[in-house]
Amino acid sequence: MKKTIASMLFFLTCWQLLCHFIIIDPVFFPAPLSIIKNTFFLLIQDNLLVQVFYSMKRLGLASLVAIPAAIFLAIAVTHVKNLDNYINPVIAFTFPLPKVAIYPLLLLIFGIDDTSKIVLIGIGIFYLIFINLRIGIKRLLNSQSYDLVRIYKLTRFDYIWNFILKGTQQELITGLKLGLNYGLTLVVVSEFSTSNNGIGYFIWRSWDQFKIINVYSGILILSILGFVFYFIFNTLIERASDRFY
Amino acid sequence: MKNALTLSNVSHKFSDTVVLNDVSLSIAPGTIHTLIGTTGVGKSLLLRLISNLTVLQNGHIDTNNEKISYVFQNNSFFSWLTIEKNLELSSNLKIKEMEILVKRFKLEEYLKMYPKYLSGGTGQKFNLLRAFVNRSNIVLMDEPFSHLDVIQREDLYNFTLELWKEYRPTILLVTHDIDEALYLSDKISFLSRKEKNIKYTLEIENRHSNGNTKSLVTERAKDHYLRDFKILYNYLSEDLV
Repeated sequence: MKKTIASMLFFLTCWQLLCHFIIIDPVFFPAPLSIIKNTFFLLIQDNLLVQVFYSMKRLGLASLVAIPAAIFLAIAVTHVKNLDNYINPVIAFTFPLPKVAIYPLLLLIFGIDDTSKIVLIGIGIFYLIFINLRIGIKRLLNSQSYDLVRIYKLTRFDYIWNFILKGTQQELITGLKLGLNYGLTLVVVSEFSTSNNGIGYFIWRSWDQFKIINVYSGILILSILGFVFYFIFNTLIERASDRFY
Repeated sequence: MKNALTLSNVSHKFSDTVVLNDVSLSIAPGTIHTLIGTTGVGKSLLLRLISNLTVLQNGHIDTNNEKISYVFQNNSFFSWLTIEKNLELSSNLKIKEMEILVKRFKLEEYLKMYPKYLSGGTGQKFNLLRAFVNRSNIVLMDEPFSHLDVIQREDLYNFTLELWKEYRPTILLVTHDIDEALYLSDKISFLSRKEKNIKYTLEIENRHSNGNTKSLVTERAKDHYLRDFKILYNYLSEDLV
């Protein structure tokens, strides 16, 4: 952690000095301190916080649908005979596709309001959780732990909650970490073109109005959100792996 | 009296390799029966067949539809749950009952721990506890003491006998350790590598079933049952040649 902070400080100091001595153009590369000051101003005085709220709302709603759907399907394909043979090729075929490529189609189907954005974000989150969890459940079903389930005959609730979900918590958290970070990317991309709120909209509008420092503030907010996700999920993964054999 | 467990003409193959050939065995209720044999003769496979963890290919196994518990070779818990939660899931005990039981065996300090942090011996005590307290009529034990040192083993033998005296299930123990077999068993069957079958069953008189447990837990069985030891040792040696 100390090394991470030190390297970040070194990078930012260099940047600050380069701006100070006008070695790089401060209009295109504003000094870090100016960006931080501007971001605080935008959060308190302007409506950047509202934009963050709109983006988080989209991410939250998409997660609310995508996470349970991914968990349900991952459990289904690993438990219903032959279902994996049908589902897995479809996943393998559609997963490498950049999800942004299907956005125009979603706009056509769901219209330009929030639904199309939420569906796009949801699809992105779904794949990463589903793929990780499916592998985790398969690992679990091939382990000696599954013999214990068969011997001691767990109730259905205990089987799903205490065996499957808690037993695959490492894969599930990894899926959530990757899925939500990718979801955040899709939030921004979907807000670039067909939105009148959200961080993506804020960044795009700032660029349009040539308020470059605001673009940087938008990016800073996204970085902080990304870092918060990273920190939360990494802590959870470390805690979980501490208990496993 | 009806047998607690009956195996009739059980055979099993992996691809073309015959592992078990026409194995038959009957075990009286409430006794400790040991299956001894060298490594790789199919002892554990037989336990997996009885417990239905491996699908039976040929023959018949009658467990009278009784509840079966299984003690595995190593710490076999859900490693992501505390010992308390593990016990709660696999036994039908209420938390209060479990606390009383665990206190009796002076194991209460380990209840909130994750299995990873238990020593081999303590982990195996909880494995045994779980197998007995859920009131199974048949307890299958797959070399449960093989990874422990001699001192821990004796402690665990006594722990097993104490639990067995209280709950009185039928135990089928699998081991390749003659001392262990003699220490714990009412009957010992020898599974032959050559014949892939039970070649010999030794009945040990005045054992646990007849209430004669005291001498067993206080003295080393090897000295008392030198004759039995020699017979078994000869069988094992012959089987390896």
